[in-house]
Amino acid sequence: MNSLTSLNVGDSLTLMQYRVKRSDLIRYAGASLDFNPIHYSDRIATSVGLPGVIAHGMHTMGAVARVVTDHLPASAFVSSYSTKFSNPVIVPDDDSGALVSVIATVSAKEKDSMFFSIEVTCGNQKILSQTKLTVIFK
Amino acid sequence: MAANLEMIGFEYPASDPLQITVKDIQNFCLAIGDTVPEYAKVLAAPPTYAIALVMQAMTHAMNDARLNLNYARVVHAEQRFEHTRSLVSGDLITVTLTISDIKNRMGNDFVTFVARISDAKEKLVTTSTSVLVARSEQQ
Repeated sequence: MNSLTSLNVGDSLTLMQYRVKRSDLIRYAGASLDFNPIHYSDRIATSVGLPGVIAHGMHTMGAVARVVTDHLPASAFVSSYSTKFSNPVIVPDDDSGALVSVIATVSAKEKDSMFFSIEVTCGNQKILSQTKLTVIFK
Repeated sequence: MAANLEMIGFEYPASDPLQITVKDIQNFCLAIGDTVPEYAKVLAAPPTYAIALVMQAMTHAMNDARLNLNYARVVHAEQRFEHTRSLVSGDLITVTLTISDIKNRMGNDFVTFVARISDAKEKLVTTSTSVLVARSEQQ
């Protein structure tokens, strides 16, 4: 994939996969100022009915955007990005973490903008839904 | 425990101006696995970086006794960002947070926060809309 703009409606970008580990969540808490303990403490996560420590929804939303932004020229920017959080990414306390898969498809194209619809899964579960991202080329 | 519907439309005072640094953006990029040049003088922020700028105001609001939310049971349901340009290092920004909607459905409180981020010229750069849910104690 050399140029984003060479893609047509219906085309997908190369599948992106990333792993998220406990250490990534600690780093994200510090960078985002979101210190909710459900993102680092199994004790607290299970006490509020979660299966264990989960990734910040915003960590997922941030990491997922890279499927498009890794290909953006400096003159372009993301004008709109939205999602619903449908299932949490459960992050085990081990060395491999959780594997998240991301596919972005061009849903529409105009002269100076491109619209993407993004699918995000972990295992067999859909993590995000109605995920849409718009790029404007200046 | 239900959220106080009288808080719909409530606007918190604007934050003090805050300067975005290269280091702030680098740390955020590293945390989401984004590539980042090590010695950049000016960096454009990733599209979700704005959440780091509004998190403090939102956490304060979620713990505001007048809103009556159970913060320990809050999860993120929806998020939207609208940008007129990328936020960049060096930007001197202010954040204004409004509670735009509150709904109670089957014991769950859905609170919509709209945060507007403006630059030093008072031009709107980012609108962040977050729907947070305080899950019912019965779940």
